[in-house]
Amino acid sequence: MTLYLPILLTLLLAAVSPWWVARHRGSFMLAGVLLQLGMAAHFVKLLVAVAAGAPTPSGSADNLFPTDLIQWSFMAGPWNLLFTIMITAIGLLVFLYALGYFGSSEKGHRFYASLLVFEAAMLGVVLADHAILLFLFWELTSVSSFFLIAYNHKEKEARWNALQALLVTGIGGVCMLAGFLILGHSWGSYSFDAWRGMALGGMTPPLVALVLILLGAITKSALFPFFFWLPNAMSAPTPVSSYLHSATMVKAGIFLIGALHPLFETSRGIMITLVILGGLTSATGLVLGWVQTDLKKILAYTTLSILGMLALLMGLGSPEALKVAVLVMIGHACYKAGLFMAAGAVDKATGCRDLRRLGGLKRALPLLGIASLGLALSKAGFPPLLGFVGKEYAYKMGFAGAGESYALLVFLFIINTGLMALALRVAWTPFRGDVPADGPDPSAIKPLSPLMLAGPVVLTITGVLLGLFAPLLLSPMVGAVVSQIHGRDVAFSLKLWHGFQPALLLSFVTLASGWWIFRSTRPTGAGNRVTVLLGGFEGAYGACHRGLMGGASRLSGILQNGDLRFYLRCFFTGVLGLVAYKWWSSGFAWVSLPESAGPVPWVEWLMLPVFLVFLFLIVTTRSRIFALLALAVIGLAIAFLFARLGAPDLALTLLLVETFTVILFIHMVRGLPKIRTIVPLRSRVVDIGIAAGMGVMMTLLALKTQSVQTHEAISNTHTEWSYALAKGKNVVNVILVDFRALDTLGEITVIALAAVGVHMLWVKGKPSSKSGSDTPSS
Amino acid sequence: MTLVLSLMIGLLFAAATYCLLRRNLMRVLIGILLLGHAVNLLLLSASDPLSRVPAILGKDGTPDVPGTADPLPQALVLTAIVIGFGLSVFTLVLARSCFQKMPIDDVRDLGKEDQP
Repeated sequence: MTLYLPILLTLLLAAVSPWWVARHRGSFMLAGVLLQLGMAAHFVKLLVAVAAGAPTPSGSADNLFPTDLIQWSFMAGPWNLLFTIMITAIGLLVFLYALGYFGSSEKGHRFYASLLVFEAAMLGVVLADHAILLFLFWELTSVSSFFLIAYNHKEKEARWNALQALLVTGIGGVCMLAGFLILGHSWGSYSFDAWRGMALGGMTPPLVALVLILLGAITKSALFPFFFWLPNAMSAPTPVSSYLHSATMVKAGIFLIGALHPLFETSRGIMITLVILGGLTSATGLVLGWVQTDLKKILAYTTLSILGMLALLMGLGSPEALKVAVLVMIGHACYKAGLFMAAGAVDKATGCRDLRRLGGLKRALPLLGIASLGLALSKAGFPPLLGFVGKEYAYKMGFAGAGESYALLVFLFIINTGLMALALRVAWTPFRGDVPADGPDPSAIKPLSPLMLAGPVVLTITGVLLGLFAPLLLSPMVGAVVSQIHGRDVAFSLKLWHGFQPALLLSFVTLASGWWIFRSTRPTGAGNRVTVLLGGFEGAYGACHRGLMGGASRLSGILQNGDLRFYLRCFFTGVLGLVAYKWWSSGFAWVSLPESAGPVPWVEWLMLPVFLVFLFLIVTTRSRIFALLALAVIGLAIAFLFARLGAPDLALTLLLVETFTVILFIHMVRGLPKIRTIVPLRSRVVDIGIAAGMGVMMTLLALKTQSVQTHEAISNTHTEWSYALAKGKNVVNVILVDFRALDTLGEITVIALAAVGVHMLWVKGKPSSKSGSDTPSS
Repeated sequence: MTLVLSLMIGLLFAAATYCLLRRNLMRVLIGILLLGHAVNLLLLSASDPLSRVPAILGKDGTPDVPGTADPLPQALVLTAIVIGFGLSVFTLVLARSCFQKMPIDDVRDLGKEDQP
């Protein structure tokens, strides 16, 4: 209960938020802050307890769903709790930031609902223990993020980008579901906890399931080659970018890899794939980020770089690598969300996000500048900030290994240096030096809401505190988290100071070269051959998307061409084909004639030539009157048949109806179109074939119907009860007005509606007519 | 009897199908009327037993002769006849007022575009 109550409360707040925020913004803000603060404190408390050795909290509601395929069950190990803290704490800051960002404008009112639904879904993803339950929340994050990215839905680009994010993550999500189902089916359980236990116990999961689950993770975390949706998602409002695209949603893939790490570890191929994809993503982010000039885009690309590094570290899989991954992730959540908020604040204040036109804002926005620089230095790994801790351990890991770990060291060095230069470029360029000639007017800078400053400032302070007191605050927690991912107990104590070691030296080299690169380069915005090549992946997506849409519309153009004749031909041929197939597959069983109840009198045989002649007349005549008379003859013949077959009521009714129809027909025959032949003979031959086929088929089916009995006739009871219950001797009438009275009521309603329709059309079609007295009624 | 009935059903269906596949509006309308007849007969042919004696009871509430006709298909057909009548009248009037608004008797052209 304590695990899933936060999810329910957040959903509840989301449901009422549009009205609440419109009526009373102050109390809504208070409620949101209290809720998220409470949740963050709750999860911190749980994590501290779990890290100190308390049992893993879990919660479930049995029998909520009537099937075992989905269970309402939650479980929170240290790895899960770490995510819940990031989600709620950064959620709180983003919530405040959004209040400042949208101000009291109308525009923000529907924002909070999507944001809170997203937060609840994200909590569900990281807390669910049942795979299918996790999938449900996973898809809910995709859907709610679609609404958040497309928040400025009047812009075509925002809609396209939101759809792209939805499709890429959605397709990955479906793959993941398939993987879950395969794994759950072969292992007989859908519980993550059980899966981990089985994998650690030596069972090997099916490789195809792992590959499918991995597909879900890499699309969600925007890993290579699906990286393109993340930078495009920057068309979202900044609060969304800083929440979804730095701290939470894009980390869901990393979360999944961590949660199922023991399973992935069983396959060396999967781990190597992770390392390669992670490395490629990291490099791609750096290369593409380097040529960008848009603040938010650069941040998105550096996020890609970090996500790639996390995937790489997960793929390495050693306890040391996992430690680094956890530290890097905590650090990244703090500084990246803050940097996004700072970039959004700059955008809001100046109306400009282009680095080439920004500069000299430090006098106008001093507090933001300091916070921004602090965040960038944390990202760069400046001691003793939080980023430094992670990087130091990364280098230490590189130096501790041998052989290929030096390649890793070089790679990490390049990525870290590049990221540091980019971080400074994003965070400090807008503030340093003088205002460029074409930059925004400093005097026109709008004052910022303190709510928008809260996020960057709080996160800067958090970075400093977590860095300074890392051994005290983070040691037990990181140890517990790594133990859960690794599946085996890992002892861990964090140190800030490792003495003079090669790692420390390399850290300082990184800092110095990063600073030097930052000083000596300027963003140009010009692409090069590599960026064009990498853009090809998005091009491929676009081609697939457009090809699918174009193909679909061509296909509907062929199938739905508006020609009634074409539809009917397809329908009749399809029916004929299906029945013929059934007949063929049953070994051409010949329909046997049922035993006749007696000789057929000659008048009934006479009906056959009558039918033949008059039906031929109907289909060939070009005179409307002739057709009408032939139709009447057919109707009378059928009425005669009814009378011979023990159905006098039917004969009488049909007689009446035919009379009415003939009168009506004669009355309006001149208003009806003439009968003429339109299509050429060649085309008619096909139709004659289809019609003949239908005739033969229906004859055989009618014969077959009479020799097949699957159930005793229910009308026996009708006959039995007719007099006893309804006091009627004409059983047909009793059925109509008694046993199936509701049917008859419906029938009368239909006739009444038809009469109203006929009346309306008659009056409208004949404005000179005196009245609607011609309207037939039943 | 069943053979005659089945052959008639087949003939009606064949004629109705052929008419429905025409492009002339009148022929399609005739096809709809014929299809109604065909289906009614088909329903009746499913009777068990298919008898010539009407399902009318005697004084004591039981059939005078054994083997009366199955009343249920008859009840269903009766409903179908009446509804079919409503349908055909409505369709005829609709076709007429449509034809008066725009004099097109080709079903393909009717579906092409909305004309004023």
